[in-house]
Amino acid sequence: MQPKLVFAILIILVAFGGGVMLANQQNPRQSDVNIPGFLWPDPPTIDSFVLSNSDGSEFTEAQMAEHWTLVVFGFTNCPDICPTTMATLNQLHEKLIEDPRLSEDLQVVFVSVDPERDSHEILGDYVHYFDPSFVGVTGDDESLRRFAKQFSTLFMKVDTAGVPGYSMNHSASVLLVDPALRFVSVFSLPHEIEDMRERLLQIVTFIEAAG
Amino acid sequence: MRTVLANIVMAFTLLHCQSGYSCTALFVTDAWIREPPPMAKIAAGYFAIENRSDRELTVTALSSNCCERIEMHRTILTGDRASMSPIDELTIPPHDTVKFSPGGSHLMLIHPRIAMGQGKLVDIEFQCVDGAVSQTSFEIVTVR
Repeated sequence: MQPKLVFAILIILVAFGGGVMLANQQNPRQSDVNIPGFLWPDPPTIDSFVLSNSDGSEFTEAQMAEHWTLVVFGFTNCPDICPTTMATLNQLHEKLIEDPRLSEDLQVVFVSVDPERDSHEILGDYVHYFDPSFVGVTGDDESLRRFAKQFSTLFMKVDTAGVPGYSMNHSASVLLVDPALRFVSVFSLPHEIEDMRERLLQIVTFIEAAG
Repeated sequence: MRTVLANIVMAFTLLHCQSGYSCTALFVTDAWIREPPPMAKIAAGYFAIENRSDRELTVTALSSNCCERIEMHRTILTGDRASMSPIDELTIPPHDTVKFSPGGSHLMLIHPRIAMGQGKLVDIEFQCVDGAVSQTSFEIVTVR
């Protein structure tokens, strides 16, 4: 074989190999990662919605764009699972904002599915007890159901015999939306802070590499 | 006659003790209340309760001056859905311990009458089937 031909084949092979490596770095596939709860490829995109922030302003998809958003559903009369999850999110948030990629762009949104009892004032006091930066939102029943459906979840009012009158059944998972408004991950119970931190940072790295 | 009466009283007392109803064989530890956020109308309490007797013991009610009402509830997870179910009676098997902990069984302290701040102690009475009462102090702890 001619030396020139061999050299040309080598050049082509090196170029092809480099191209494949570069493509893999820029477009990581699902097979490249194994992150529990990661909804990749083809994560659902959050459609437009209108909810109400505890400060009285509208809360729409515009407030989630360009942010990493942790969403959790609940209600302030929930004595056990909601404050447990909120305390976990507070501690997780403190750890995550140490990462420069998230220090400005991570938000936690508590969605009250009990607008009947959770006024703006009550909701604001509740979320800010855990962290002043946390956002509390709610809405009318239809808006809340449409929003919840985007995360494939439901909530339900349940009559109780006790003094509170009724309770709300709701999702106990923490849901992650990326800056491109894609619902990219579900963090199901149990919520271990270090495990959630590692998974979330892996997802951020993966999606930033994917472009 | 006095001896006969004394024997009858002693026999009744022994029978009563052996029935295992008395709360005196129940020992509550790790009793704490999660400090509720401001304006919250409900708080949650947690504890471990040990039955040191040879019979199962049943707690039927709880009460305290701290709040309007105290109920026992269990958080139930079905898939990712959380719901609550009331516990009408809490039965502790002999020589066993039952734990109430976050994400599981818990006391629901409804409509607090006092400010529930970090470090405060709240006395709660556990009432057994026979009406006997055992009191335990719960410490309010901030977890956030």
